[in-house]
Amino acid sequence: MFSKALFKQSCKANGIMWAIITFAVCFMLACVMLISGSGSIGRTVHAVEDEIVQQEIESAVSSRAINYFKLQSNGMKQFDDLFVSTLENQLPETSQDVQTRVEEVYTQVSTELMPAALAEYAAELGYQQGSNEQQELIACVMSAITSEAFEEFYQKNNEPVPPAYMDFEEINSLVLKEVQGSSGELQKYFSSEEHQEFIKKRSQSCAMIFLAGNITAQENVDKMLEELAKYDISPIKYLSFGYTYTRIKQLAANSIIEYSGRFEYEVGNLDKSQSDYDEKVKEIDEQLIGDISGSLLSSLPEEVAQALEEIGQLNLYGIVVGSIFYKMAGLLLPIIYMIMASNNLIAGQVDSGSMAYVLSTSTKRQTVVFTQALFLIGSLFVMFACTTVTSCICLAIVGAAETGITYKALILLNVGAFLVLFALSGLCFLTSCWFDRSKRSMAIGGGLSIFSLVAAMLGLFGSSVIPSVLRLDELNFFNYTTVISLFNSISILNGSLTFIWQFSILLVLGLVGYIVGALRFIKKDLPL
Amino acid sequence: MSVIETEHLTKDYGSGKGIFDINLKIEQGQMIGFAGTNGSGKTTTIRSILGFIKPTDGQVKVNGLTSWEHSSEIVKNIGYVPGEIAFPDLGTGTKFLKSQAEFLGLQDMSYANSLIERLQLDVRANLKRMSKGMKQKTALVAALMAYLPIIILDEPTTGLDPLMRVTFLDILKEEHAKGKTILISSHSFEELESTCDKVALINHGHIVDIADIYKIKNRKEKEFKIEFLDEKDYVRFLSEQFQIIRKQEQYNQVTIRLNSNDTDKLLNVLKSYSVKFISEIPYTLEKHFKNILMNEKGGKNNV
Repeated sequence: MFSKALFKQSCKANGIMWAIITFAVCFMLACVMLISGSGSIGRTVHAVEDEIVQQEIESAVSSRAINYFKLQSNGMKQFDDLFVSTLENQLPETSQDVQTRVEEVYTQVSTELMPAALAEYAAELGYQQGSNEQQELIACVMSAITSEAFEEFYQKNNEPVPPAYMDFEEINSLVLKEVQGSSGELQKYFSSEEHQEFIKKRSQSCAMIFLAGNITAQENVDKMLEELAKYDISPIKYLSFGYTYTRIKQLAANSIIEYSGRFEYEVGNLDKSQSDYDEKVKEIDEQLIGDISGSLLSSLPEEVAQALEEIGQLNLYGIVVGSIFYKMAGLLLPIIYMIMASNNLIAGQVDSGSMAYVLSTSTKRQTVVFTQALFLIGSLFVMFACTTVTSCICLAIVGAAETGITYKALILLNVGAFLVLFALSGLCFLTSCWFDRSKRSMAIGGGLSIFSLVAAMLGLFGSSVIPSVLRLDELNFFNYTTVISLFNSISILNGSLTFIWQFSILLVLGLVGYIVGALRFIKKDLPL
Repeated sequence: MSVIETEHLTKDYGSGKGIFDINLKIEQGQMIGFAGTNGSGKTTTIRSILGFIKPTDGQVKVNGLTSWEHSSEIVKNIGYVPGEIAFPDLGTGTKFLKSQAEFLGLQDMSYANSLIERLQLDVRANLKRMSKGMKQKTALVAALMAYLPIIILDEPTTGLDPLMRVTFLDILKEEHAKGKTILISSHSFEELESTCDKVALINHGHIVDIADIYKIKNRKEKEFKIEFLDEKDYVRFLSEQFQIIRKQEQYNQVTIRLNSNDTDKLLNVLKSYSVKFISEIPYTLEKHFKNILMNEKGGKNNV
C-alpha cells in the first residue's frame, strides 16, 4: 500500500515549495500575532468606545441646551401673561398705589403663581412632585426670570447676575396710564418686538449658563460618572474628555444659536395666512429638537448602549487571529501549495507521462494513489503543526491573559485551518485523479478552492464577527457558498461546541474526495 | 507459451480512432518491430500491453497474465521506454536513476554505469535542461539497467543523431543476443529491418501484415536493372526468356525479375551483349509494406 521510493520522490519534488510556503505562513502568523498583540488593538477598542460616549454626551448637551432655551423663553412669556392678567384684575385705584401694587403682583406671580404653573407643567410631562426633574425645570425657568434670587448660582459660576427682568419704572408708568383710563398699554408693551427680542437674548444667555453650571455641578458630575462607569469610563478619562464649564457653555451656545437660527428660517418660509400655520410651526419645532424629554444620561439611547456593549465585548485580537488570519490570510498560501502539490502528485505526472516510470516498476496504482494522498495530507499536517508551534510561541510572548485567547482555542484554530485544507485538498486530489490534463485538474479543483477562499473573505464582512455598525448584511450570503464557513472560529473562541460537528463535516468531505479520487485513478485509462 | 500475446485486442476511442482486433504473438527471445505512421495505433497497443489502458474488447497477456488486471505484476518483467519522455521532477539524471533503482529494488548499478559510458551520457545534467537525445538515453538506461527479460520501446530513436542511433541499436541487438524479448515501435522501416526478427505493420488501428525479415532478406526472386550501350542490344534483349517488369526505352534500360537460381543463366546470356551496367534492386521492408498497402488500396478501389 505504501511506496517509500515514491514518497521520497514526492518529497523531493515538492519539498522546496512546501518549505517556502510553510516558512512564509509561519512568518506571517508571527507578525500578525506579535504586532496586533502589542496592545494597540485594545487601544483601538477604547478609542471607538470613547468616541461613541463623547458623541453621545455632546448630543445630549445640545438637546438639553435647546430644551432649556425653550423652557426659559416660554416661561418668560407665561410669566408675562400671568403678570399682566393678575395686574389687570386688580388695578390700583389711585396713582399713588401703582408702585406698591406692581411690586405686590410681581412678588405674587414670581413666588406663587409661576412656580405653581411650572409644577403643573412638570406634572403634565410626568415628573413627580418633588422629583429632581421637577425642581430642575422650575429652577431653570426661575433662574432666568428672578435672577436676583439666583445670585449665588451665578456667582458660583463666575457669571455676572443678569439685570432684573422687569423694568419697574416703565411698568409703573404704563400701569399709571391704564389707571388713568387708557387700557391695553401693558399688553402692547409685553407683545412688542423689542420685548420678544429681549426674551430671546435673555433666555439664550441664561440657558447656557444654567446648563453649564448644572452639568459641571459636583453632584451632577458624580451622577454622570456613576452612569458612565457602566461603560468603563473612569473619572480620569471623563476629565480627559475636557467637559469644562466654558466648553459646555460654548457647546450650548452653538446649539442654541443654530436651533433658533434654523427655527426662524424655517418658520419664515411658511405662509402666515394659512390655516395650519400654527400646526406647521409646531411640526418644525418638534423636528428640530427631536425628543428632548428625559434627564441627561439617565439612560443612553438603546442602540448606543448596545453598540457600546458590543464593542466592549469585541475580542479584536480574536477576530484578527481567528477570523482574519486563520480563516483568510493564513489559508491563502497553504491553498496555493495544496493546489499545486495535488496537481503535481497525480494529474501533472499523468499529463507529462512521468507516471510511466513509477507504474512500470511494479508499483500498484493503489500504492501510488495511497502514497500520494498520504504525502499530501502529511505535508499539510506538518505545515499546520508548524503554525501551531509558531502560534503557541507567539501567544506565550504576547501573553494569553491580555489577548483573550486561550491555548486550547488557538490549537483548535490550527486544527480548523488544517481541516479546511484537508477538505479542499480532497477536492483537488479528486480532480487531480479524475483528469488526465493538469490544466483541467487545476482549473476545476484549484478554481473551486480559490472561490471558497474569496467567498469566505467577502462573507467575513457580512458575518457576525463584524460589529453591527460596520456589517454588510448582503455579503453574508457568501458564507453559504463556501466550505470555509464550516470552520467556525467564533464558536471556537467563545467556547461553544457547534464547531465540533462542523469539523466532522469537513473531515467527511475531505475523505470522500480522497476515496472517490483514488477509486477513479485505479480504474481509469492512463495515457502513459 | 508466448511472452506477449494479444487476442482480438480492441480499444475503440470512437470515430474510427483506436486499435481494432489486434492479434500478435511474441515469443521468448524475439525482437519484434512495430511499424506504422503517426496515429496508427502503435502507442495504444503498447499501453494496452503494459496495462495502462483497459481494452474495449479482447485481451493482452504477458507471461500468461492479463495486462489490465495484473498490470503491477507484469510490469515487473518489462523495461519500458515511453514515447513521450518526461521525467519526475527530481533534478539531475543521477537522482532520477537512483530513484528508479529504488523503485525496482536494484542494488547493483554496474550495468547502468556501463550503459551510461557507452551512450556517452552525462547523467549529472539537470533533467529539465537535457536535450531530446540525452533524455532518450537516460530513459533507455532506466529501462535496461534492471536487466528485465522484456523490453518495450516506443519510438526510441527519434531525436537521436545518426551515429548515436547506431550505438543505440547496437545496444538493443546485444540485449537481443542475450535472449531478451524486445518490442520496438518506430516509423523508420530501415531501422526495424536492420534489427528485428519480425515487423508488424499497423495502419489505422489494424495489423496489416507481419513480415519476417529473414524471408524478406532471403527472397528467391530478385530484381535486376540492366542498361545497354546501344538500342539494338536493348531490343534484342527483350526477346530473351526473362520476366521483364519494367522497360525504359529512352535509357535502354530494362528491369527483370528472376529466381536467384537462374542468376547463372542471366550472366551467360549477357555475355553477348554490351552492357553499360547491371545492378540489383534490393527488396526492402519499405517496399514490401508499400506493395501491401498499395494492393489493399487497389483492392478497395476495385470494389
